[in-house]
Amino acid sequence: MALAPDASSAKAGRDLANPARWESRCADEGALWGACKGSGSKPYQAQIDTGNIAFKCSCPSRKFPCKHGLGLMLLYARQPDSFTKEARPQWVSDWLDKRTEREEKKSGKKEKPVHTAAQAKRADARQRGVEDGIAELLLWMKDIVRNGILSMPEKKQSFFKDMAGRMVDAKAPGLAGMVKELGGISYYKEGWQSVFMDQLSALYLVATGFLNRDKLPAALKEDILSLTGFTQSKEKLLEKPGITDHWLVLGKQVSEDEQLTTERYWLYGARSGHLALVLQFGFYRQGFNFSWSPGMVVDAHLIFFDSAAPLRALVRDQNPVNAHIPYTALESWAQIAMQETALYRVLPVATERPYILRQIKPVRYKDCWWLCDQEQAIVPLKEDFARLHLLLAVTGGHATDMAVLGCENNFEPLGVWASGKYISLA
Amino acid sequence: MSNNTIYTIAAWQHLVETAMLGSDKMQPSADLFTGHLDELYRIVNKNEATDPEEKVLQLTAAVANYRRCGTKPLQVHEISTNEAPPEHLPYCSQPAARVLRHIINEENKSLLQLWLEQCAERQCIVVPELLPLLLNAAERWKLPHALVTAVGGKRALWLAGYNSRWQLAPEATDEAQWQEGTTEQRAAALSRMRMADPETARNELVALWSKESANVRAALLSILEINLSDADLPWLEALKADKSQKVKEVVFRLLRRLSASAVVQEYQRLAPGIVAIRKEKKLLGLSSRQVLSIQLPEPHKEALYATGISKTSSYTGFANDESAIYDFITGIPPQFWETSSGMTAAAIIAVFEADKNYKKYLPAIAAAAIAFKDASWLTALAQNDAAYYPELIPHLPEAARKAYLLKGIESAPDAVIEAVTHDTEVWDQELAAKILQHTAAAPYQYNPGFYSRNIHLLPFSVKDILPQVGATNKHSQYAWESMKEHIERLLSLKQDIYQSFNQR
Repeated sequence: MALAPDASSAKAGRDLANPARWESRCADEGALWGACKGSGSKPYQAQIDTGNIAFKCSCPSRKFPCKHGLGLMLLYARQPDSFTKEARPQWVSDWLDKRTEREEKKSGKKEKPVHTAAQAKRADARQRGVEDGIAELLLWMKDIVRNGILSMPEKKQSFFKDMAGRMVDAKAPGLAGMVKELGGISYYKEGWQSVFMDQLSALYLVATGFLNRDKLPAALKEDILSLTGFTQSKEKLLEKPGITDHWLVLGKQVSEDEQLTTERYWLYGARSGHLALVLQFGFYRQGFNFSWSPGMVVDAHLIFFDSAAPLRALVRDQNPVNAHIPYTALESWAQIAMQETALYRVLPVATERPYILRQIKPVRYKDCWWLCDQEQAIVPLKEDFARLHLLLAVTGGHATDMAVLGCENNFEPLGVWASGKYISLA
Repeated sequence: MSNNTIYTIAAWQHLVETAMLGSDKMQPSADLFTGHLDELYRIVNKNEATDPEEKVLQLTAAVANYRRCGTKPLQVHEISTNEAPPEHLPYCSQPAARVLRHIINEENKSLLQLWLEQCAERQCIVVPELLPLLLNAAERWKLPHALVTAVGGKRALWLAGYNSRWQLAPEATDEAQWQEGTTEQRAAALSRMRMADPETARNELVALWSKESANVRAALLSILEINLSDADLPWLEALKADKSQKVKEVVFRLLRRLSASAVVQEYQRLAPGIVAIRKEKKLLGLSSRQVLSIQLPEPHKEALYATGISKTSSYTGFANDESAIYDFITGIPPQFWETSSGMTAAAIIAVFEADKNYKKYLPAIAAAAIAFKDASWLTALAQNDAAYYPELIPHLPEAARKAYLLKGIESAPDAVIEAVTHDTEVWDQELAAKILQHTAAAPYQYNPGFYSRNIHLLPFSVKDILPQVGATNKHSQYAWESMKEHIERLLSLKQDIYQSFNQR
């Protein structure tokens, strides 16, 4: 049920985990499929790729997975004996074949003839367009600094949206997103001025970093290009070596911006000790390749994007596995501070990252909640952390190994290890 | 905190203040860029081609990075920790925990209570990760405090200390609630005392009687209905002179239920003048039959009104006098009619049933049988095929009750169903099957909520007969089919509860 996109889907899925609702229920070693009675004349055909956990259904729902997919999976989990073993019908094998084809294409896409000169010309034109956009952006930022930021809370959203739109026109969607974030600051909260200047300075670094990109180290240049909105070629990335490991899903975050749904998975590699961020994008919650839930272990090959401090990765081949994995934890907040310092040295625009810390406990200090390490060093718990009571329930106020996400002095727990298992706080 | 950190924080604050006012009005001051930041300030300001706004942005970007790199956790030497005490009971199994999560997500209070009872019975506790869900559910559905505390373990009590909505602290004793609680809490405490020790409860009420307002006196006095006995009589008789009309109404209502009370004695004295059963000859004296005559003579009226009987009608379809007679009959022990007429209970009931004008008084006799706990009359009334009295159901002995329920499910199904929803034991299979059949015909009246609320009463065995139960009309067919799935799912969840606890 952790795969459900929302509570109502989970409830509807549970309702459908009932043999009476299914005209047929079949399973083989790689898939589940079934026909579910719906309000229409024809039953909905739901299918699940159990190898790479993916769903497909003929219903018109825009939710993903839909209630039929969830219901079928839950029914199989509860009553596997109620599924018959039959040869895959055409509609199931077609879908699975297409998925396999797509995977194969991803891993070894045939080379198309490249028109190098035209490509270079287009790239040059785009970069000039971004530079022009940045010139306008810098003027806008300087106006803000010249006139003072005290008037920011009174600004209409169009003040930020218009400049974000200009950055989209300039083909710099990354900068557009950063401008939009300035408009999304909680101006009613105390201390907004510092938050605003923090974000404005990051925007300034990326914008001027782009203008000076040729003077930057190669890896940092890739970060600046990514932050500006240039995507790294997946084909090229897939040619690079990656890391095959058992990855523990430390946390999952889902955000929606109009029709676009973004899933962010924070992973920890058991053998490599690497931490990774895998992103998935979907329109109307559709089009995701896989669905993981926190606490799950995935046997996967990850290829990291070029970066001064690699974190974001692409997934090539993944299979959920049933395993408890070992982990190595940092001993103290001081060690995290050292790692963060080293990180900012190479990547001055770094954002939040996951860490695993040994023996952390929630404590009250000066009427606030803090996370205390073994050396009595404390860091404030993220102000809007919604799962405080769950954190208290699973720790009982005792020290436990904990996965945290954040940066500088602002961390939230993703999960804890208690009674020998990882418990997600999502 | 190191000097460098102090300098960085000061420089950052200065830059934020500069930005607040605007670089038109304020420029970063060199004085605030000391120590390791001094060189940074000089480098930025050295470039004369850079405008003041850009200098602010450059300094801000650089100082922000210094600040981030210099961030250290706060070191505390003494920090008070509050850790949950260790548990002594084992946690419930993972399958049981999964079922609990499922039930809470389903928002099914009935199954949740069943799960908690099973957990408490097996002396295990809820896994910590489900405690916030459980405590939220307990608050929302007002689950029995003792049950939640028993299965929540020490961790739940500890956790409840961090959320004022989760009231798990030990409840005040009945004595404390009686002395200091709200009227509602005091009434509840008095009810419990009355059930455990009727005399003490009455004495508590007597002790505080003069200090209470009329409304509170009336509300608390009603509680004496629980375990009412002749021991209450002297005090109740004394209360007939109370100034409050509300209190007097309650007093007389209680006195009408005590056969030794002066009121009931007076009623028995007046009875022959109001209700008379006499022999009437038929067919020129060759045969006879018992006939009933009921009237309220003028001289008797005041006597009845003086015992709290209302002058105006309290019942639909009853005239003022008829309503008074009805109340009067409820105050006469049914045994009296046998003694005065020399007839059996069944014969008397038949006489009432035979008279189309007077059979409406039979429910008053049923009420009297309940009030005076007359088992033979309760049985006789239950055996009367001409009418059905749902109010008898809770007062019949078990064997008679079962037969009476099965009889009533045909003639008064809604009343029977309403009565059995208060049961504490699982319904008999035959009754459950009849209830299913009746509700199949009215799936909008008995909607999914009805089965969700009462699933704990439905026996597993109905799963076998459920497929055969069909809606009687085509309009409700779709709704009933969907209802059957709902019932099946609930039964399956209920089964999961028992299975998950038996897996341990």
